[in-house]
Amino acid sequence: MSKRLFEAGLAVYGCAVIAFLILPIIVIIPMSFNAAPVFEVIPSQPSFSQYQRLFNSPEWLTVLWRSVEIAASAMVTSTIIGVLAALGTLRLGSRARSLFEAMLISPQIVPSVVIAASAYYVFALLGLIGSIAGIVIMHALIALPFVLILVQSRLQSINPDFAQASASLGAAPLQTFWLITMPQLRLALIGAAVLAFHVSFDEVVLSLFLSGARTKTLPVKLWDSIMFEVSPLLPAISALVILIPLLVIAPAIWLQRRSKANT
Amino acid sequence: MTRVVSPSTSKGLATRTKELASGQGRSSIGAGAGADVKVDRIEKRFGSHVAVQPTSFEVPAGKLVTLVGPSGSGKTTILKMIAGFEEPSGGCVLISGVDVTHIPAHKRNLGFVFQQYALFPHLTVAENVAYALKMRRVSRAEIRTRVSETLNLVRLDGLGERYPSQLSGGQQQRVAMARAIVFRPPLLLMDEPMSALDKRLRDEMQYEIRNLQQKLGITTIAVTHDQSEALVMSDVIVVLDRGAIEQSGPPQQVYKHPRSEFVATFLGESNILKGTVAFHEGKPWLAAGGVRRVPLVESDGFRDGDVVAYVVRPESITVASEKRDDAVTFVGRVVDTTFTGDAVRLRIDLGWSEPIVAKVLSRHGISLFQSGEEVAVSWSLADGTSIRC
Repeated sequence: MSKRLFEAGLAVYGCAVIAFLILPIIVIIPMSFNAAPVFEVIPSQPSFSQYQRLFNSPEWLTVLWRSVEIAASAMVTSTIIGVLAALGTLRLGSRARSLFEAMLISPQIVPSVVIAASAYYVFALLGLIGSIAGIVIMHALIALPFVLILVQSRLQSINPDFAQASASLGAAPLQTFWLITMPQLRLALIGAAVLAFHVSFDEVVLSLFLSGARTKTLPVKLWDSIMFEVSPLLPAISALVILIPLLVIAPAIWLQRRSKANT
Repeated sequence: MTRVVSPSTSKGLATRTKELASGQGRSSIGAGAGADVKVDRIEKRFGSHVAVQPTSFEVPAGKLVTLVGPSGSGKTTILKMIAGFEEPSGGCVLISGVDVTHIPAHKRNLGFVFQQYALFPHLTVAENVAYALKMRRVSRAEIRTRVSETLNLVRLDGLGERYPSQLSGGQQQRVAMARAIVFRPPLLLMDEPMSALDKRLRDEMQYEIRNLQQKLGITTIAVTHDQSEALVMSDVIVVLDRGAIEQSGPPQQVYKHPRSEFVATFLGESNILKGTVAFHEGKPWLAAGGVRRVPLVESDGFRDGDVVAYVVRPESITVASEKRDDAVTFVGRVVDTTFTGDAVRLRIDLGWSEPIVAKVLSRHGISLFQSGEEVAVSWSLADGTSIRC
């Protein structure tokens, strides 16, 4: 009896999570397929017209493309730095290592507003305000902790005998890295890169501080239009913001499935 | 990536590496290619902890030497220093007369078999075996023939396309062997190569590895904590304890004439009687508790009052129902008997501090002696070893 009650309670809890946390996100998708210039969960005039307008709007397309570029650059930057940092910290003694790790992970612990404010100050001195480079740097910074944690945990689970075995067979350290370590790191790397892309693609606070009129990212422009004009394009744009990272994640998941089936 | 040879000492080795890898004599895998190894006062300290005290030993070309000892005896550390995985705190390693102490592992050209095999999981068996040849820029066609030759040698033909995870433990062990010998290294190092196998497979692999090693003439240094493995496989065993060599020599010699109590108890089972030397009618005897006496070998040069541990192996002891005319004879009472399959283990009370253990082949012993029975225990003078403490 009590078990049944418990299960019923669990079901209610699960439904509540879906209703309050997941549905509000998904609701934006049907809303975007509406020709009527109002926000309706169930579209009264179902159509793709908002998407047509969006893809015919050079203004939005420029911003969308800029965001993709920034996210891709931040992804590459943070992945490279993160992998090197993970390799480096693992070689340190325990005390130095926790110090460096704390430092590298701090961008996710310090509130973004604080980071944004101090970045604003420093970038103002360097003349980086309103530049793409400035945004990429800061996005890479806040994506770094994710890359570091993912890559590091994978690296630690790789048997250290592999590197020694490779050396005993005549491989120089760099060869061992490319031939033995990298292939085993591949999935963690893809995961880290996808996450880094996503972190950058929907980042608002830092971009808000650092972007200029000509370097607005998609979330910043979205923010602006919510504040100043309620455009019927908004649901379509929001849906894209959800879908684009999914498009990046999907192949990663597919790869992961395939390699699991292999072993 | 080109092979860079910077220190002048590594030149000879690198040149030889190339010769060995270039595949002269392609039909037979490295016959007679064994190097002699000299380990000279090598030591390893971690801070104040001494893992290996200055240790020296030599391995003649083509021989199999086993470093045996309990965990913490430093045996694996020594092996890793020879391989170049650990930097020694002092001393040096010479392979074929070349000092390799400061040459990095990947330039030493040594085969290494890991305890857990360390097969690369993302590569097939054939790719694992081919790895060392690829590093040596051997041509594709030659890689193919050498890989299949080597897989054939370890009886894994036809499994080249599998991944390591699809193989049994015994097969993985063979892949590890194949990978370590395919490039014809002059020296093969093995770290507890059979500890991950079950007993039956282990017994089988001991003979197989030994055969392979002798067929290839490859100098081999193995590490094990399993004393029977060491006795079965080796030309020479080196018994280590707490970072230092206790004794080394051919297995029979070390087994028969242990020089310390540690060696006597670590290698096989031993009865140990401690006492002092007392002369009786001009001949040395062992007196324990002032009563019982065991005659000692005169030529050992004892002096009155020497403290001695007297060792006799359980299988050297003859148990009979009547007293015999042997050199050393006692009468005692059987405490208990244990059937171990091939033998019967008897514990016999001779009035010593502990009952003496005798091992008798089971066809003789199974029904002959019962606990509580009075028996005569004897052994020949030569079967007893005295260790001066």
